[in-house]
Amino acid sequence: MHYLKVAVGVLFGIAVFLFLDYALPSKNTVRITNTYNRLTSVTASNAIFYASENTGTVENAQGQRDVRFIETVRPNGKVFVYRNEDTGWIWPPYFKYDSANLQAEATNLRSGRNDPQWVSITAYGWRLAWLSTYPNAVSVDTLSDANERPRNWAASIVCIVLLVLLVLIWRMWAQFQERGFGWRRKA
Amino acid sequence: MAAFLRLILFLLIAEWVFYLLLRIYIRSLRRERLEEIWDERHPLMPGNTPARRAFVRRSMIGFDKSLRSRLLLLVFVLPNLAVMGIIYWINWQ
Repeated sequence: MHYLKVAVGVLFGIAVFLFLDYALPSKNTVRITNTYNRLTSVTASNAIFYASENTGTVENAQGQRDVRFIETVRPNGKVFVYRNEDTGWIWPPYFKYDSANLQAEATNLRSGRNDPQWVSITAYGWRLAWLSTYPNAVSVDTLSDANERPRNWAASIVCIVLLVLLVLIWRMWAQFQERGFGWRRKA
Repeated sequence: MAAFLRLILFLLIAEWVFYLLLRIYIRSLRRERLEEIWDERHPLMPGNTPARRAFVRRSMIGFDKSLRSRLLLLVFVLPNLAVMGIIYWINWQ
């Protein structure tokens, strides 16, 4: 029983970490090489990695969406592809509905290898090539050179708030266990 | 628009649940503190006596008007401000 509890606890911890790793924003220093949209099939296996239906991206009868993409190159030469999709008012709570503007900004910041314009792209999500999933770009900021790594304030603040809430819930739980909900008096 | 209304609805439900739990929590903390105050003042009357219960009941009158109790209403303000902040930072920056 003890080992079972430990195993369940470890699995829960991994699940929480993966959830936060997916949902929290992350920043990457990249150079934008191309922007375009392409018909993309959103299937049952990768639908949870795309935005919810009816949030701005048109979906046709075959379940294909015309998704905007941003192709980038990292300072180490490896490529990275972002999608650029509205999240609307649903999950995850980014409330993003300016993907057309973001696409225009990204197109404006395209640059070649000889005259690179480095940018910091904030995005959430995972690039899983075998499921055809892409991180969703949320914002783009210009940088002065490739070694700049802007601090990820948003994710830090969310983590601190979640920790404070966890401590609060733990204290409330302890108080309710000790004294009930208030109408049962301590002897 | 329906999605926006649903967001507001879910946010309100979550805020109400959290508000009620927090309210029970801080009232419970205050009541525990009042019992300790009574026990310190009356070391010869230990335990959960009717006098102590009456003292706690009397002292809890007006607790809803205290600053701590009123600060709880921030539960209905801060999440909404956070949502508006996110909307601003994502779409207008």
